[in-house]
Amino acid sequence: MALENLAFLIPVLPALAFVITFFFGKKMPSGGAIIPILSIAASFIISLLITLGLLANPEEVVSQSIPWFAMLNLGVLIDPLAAVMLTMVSFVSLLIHIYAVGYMAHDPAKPRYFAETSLFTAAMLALILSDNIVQLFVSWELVGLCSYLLIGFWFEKPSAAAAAKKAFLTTRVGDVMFLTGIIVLTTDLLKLAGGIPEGGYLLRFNEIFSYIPQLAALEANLFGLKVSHLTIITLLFFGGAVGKSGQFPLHVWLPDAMEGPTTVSALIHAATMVTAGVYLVARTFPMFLAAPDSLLVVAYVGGFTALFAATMGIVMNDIKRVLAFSTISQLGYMMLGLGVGAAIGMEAVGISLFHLVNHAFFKALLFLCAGSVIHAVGTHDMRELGGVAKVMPITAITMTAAALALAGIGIPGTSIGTSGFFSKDAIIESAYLFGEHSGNWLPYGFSIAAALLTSVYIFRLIFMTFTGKPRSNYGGHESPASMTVPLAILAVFALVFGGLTQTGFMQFLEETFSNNFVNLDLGRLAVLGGYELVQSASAEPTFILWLPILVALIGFGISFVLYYLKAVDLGVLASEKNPIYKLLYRRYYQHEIFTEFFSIGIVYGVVAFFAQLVDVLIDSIVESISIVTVAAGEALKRLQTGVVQTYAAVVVAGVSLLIILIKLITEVL
Amino acid sequence: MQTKKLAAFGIAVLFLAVLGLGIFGTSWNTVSELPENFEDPSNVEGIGMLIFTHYVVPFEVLSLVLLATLIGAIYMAKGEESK
Amino acid sequence: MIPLSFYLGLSALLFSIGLFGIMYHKSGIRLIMCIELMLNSANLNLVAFSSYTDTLDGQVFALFSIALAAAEAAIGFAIFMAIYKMHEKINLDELNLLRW
Repeated sequence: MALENLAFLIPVLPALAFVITFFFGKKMPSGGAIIPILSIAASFIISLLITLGLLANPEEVVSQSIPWFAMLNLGVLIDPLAAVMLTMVSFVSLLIHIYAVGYMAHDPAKPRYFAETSLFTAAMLALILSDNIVQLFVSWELVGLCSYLLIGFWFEKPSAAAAAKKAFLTTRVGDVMFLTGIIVLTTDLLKLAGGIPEGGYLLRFNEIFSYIPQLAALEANLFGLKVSHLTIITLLFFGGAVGKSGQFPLHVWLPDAMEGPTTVSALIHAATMVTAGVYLVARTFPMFLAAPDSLLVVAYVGGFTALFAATMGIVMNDIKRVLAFSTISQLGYMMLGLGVGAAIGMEAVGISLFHLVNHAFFKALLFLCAGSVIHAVGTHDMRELGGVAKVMPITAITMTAAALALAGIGIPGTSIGTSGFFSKDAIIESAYLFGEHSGNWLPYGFSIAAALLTSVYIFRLIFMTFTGKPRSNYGGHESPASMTVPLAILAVFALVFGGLTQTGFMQFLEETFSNNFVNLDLGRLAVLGGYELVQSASAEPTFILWLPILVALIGFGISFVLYYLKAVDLGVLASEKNPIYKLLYRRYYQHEIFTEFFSIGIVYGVVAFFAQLVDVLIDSIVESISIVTVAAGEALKRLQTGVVQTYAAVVVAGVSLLIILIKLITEVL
Repeated sequence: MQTKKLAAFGIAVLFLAVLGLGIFGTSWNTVSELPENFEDPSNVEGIGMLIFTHYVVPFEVLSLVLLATLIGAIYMAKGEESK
Repeated sequence: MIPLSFYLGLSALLFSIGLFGIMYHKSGIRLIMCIELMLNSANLNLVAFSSYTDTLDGQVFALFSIALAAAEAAIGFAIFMAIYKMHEKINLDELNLLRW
């Protein structure tokens, strides 16, 4: 089919747009925004058409590949997993680009902005399309670079520059783990395959997956524990995902990354970059499934992150920081969704990705609404807002829709509900199943507690921003149409997407690993990993089905009482005197522990010491060499007198002496 | 100035010595007796024949070289003021 | 009969005198004269070899060489005229811009 041959254009078009906008954007109207918008729209259309084709025939995935060098290839792989991500990323990115035309209208550096977001989109699409782990890693790093550039977009602000640096360095920790995982995997595969195979590409996903049983059989001795190589590799991969997706303990960069423009926050922190980690785990899910203990780690880290971030979300006063912690929390849910694959197998990828896509819609909407408020009012601080709904009705309505989706309001057992309801509740119910099945109840507890807090913090945000009386003297007006139209489109998706696609979506994704590219028996892999899959899903008790929506409503009630009715004076509770509030407001002293003690104190101290050593030792050698060279040059340059006659004399003398020398050598010796 | 003269002289003598050694140390393969034709001692005719037969191409090329030299010399000697 | 070596020796002497002139004299005119001297020593060589091998090619080449010498002198004088217009003199040891 001709359409499949266009698949490579999906990342290439935005990359071309980057070049054009970067170099010629200044001469175009509104910073050349039209080029990225058109190219991403084209990418979106191609992705959508391919996805529709795939929906009709999920066995026939798009898979193309050209040799790169040795055992590596460059390739395109669009299976259900990639197709869903591609369509979502290009769609959300397209809406954000349209929105940014209005949002960035007053910024002088528009060409740079649009060029960078375009490159970012290209990198993300390339990451999703990759059919081998190296190509994925390259795009992964490119995404990291773009996030650095975009977070530090207003680099003249010291806080933005610092946030960009922090984001880059923190994710670098994860990236190093990811790279280490790839190296371990490659050496193992080379050992197992006995060298570079002819005609095959060792690091293509289908090759990797076909070696899973042998990999699982390899054992390493780690601190006296026998550990499967597959567990090491998957945990290292998960380390990369932890860095990129802002999981505990590498989540510290994400709240600070709000220093960038709000559109960047929406693009990076809702739809694309942070989901790359989840995507990585989903992409290599068969490996995780066959690796003992890996999925448990994923489930626990995800569950803990969901709760941990939510607790901080309820005390933040900066509208964007609340959303940042909310993002971390929701990413925790996605990881938890993957982790419970220990009990439900392939279905885990379905529910996790379902939440990922729904989250992309409603979180992008939340960020864009926040951006709309900030754009109109000019402050981030919710304590200075209040009553904005009167000035900006469209923004208020769409943001409320997003909040309902985030809190997961809906009626269990029917298909009535917001997008977040279907996906988040599916994860929570799977966590229950996981707890019931394996006895690990902790992730379920985390997820229920986090659901309560999610509802509290998001309605706190809504009430503090949109209701009541203005707490400061702000002007403000409703945003232009280029901003409100994307809001409305996203709001529709946030409300109804989940309900409409619920069952089809999950079935579609379950086909990811059984098609003409890879065909895996996931049940057999789970046995390798020592997980017992639930064979027949017994219906959960009704109470369990209703519990998430119940806690969400309780959370809504708490927020309503505290922040709308203001029934309780919060002055005492929310002050530095309350130790819990102080702990949360200071974000568990993470800054003091991670940044000041660990990073600056230990790491920087050690590095500085060695740097000084290098200065003294190596530099002295280098400098002495340079001194000798320069001195020799000074002395020898006197030979160049510039007088032609001298040169002639030297040439003649040289030739004469040379002839004498040759004569001597041939005659005498 | 004196040292420069001495150095130049020394180098010239050295070169001459090298050349002289080469010249007088080689046994040149020459004709035993110079041909002599007392009726017509001139060989201009022979040279003319050679130039216009065997060496006609180099001769024509030389004419081009001379023409180029002429143009170049005039151009450079004319200088700025006449432009 | 005068041996060939004598002609060659005379030619070498002329060449060395020209060489000495090039290395020693400052004036551009004298430089060109010395170069002519060296060229003519080469012509002498050509004619001598031509006579002593009983061929005429060497003499033809001597003619070519004389024509080229004329070209070279013309160019040389043109260059020196250009230099003279800039510096008001043709002192070679003051034309040392091409140094460190």
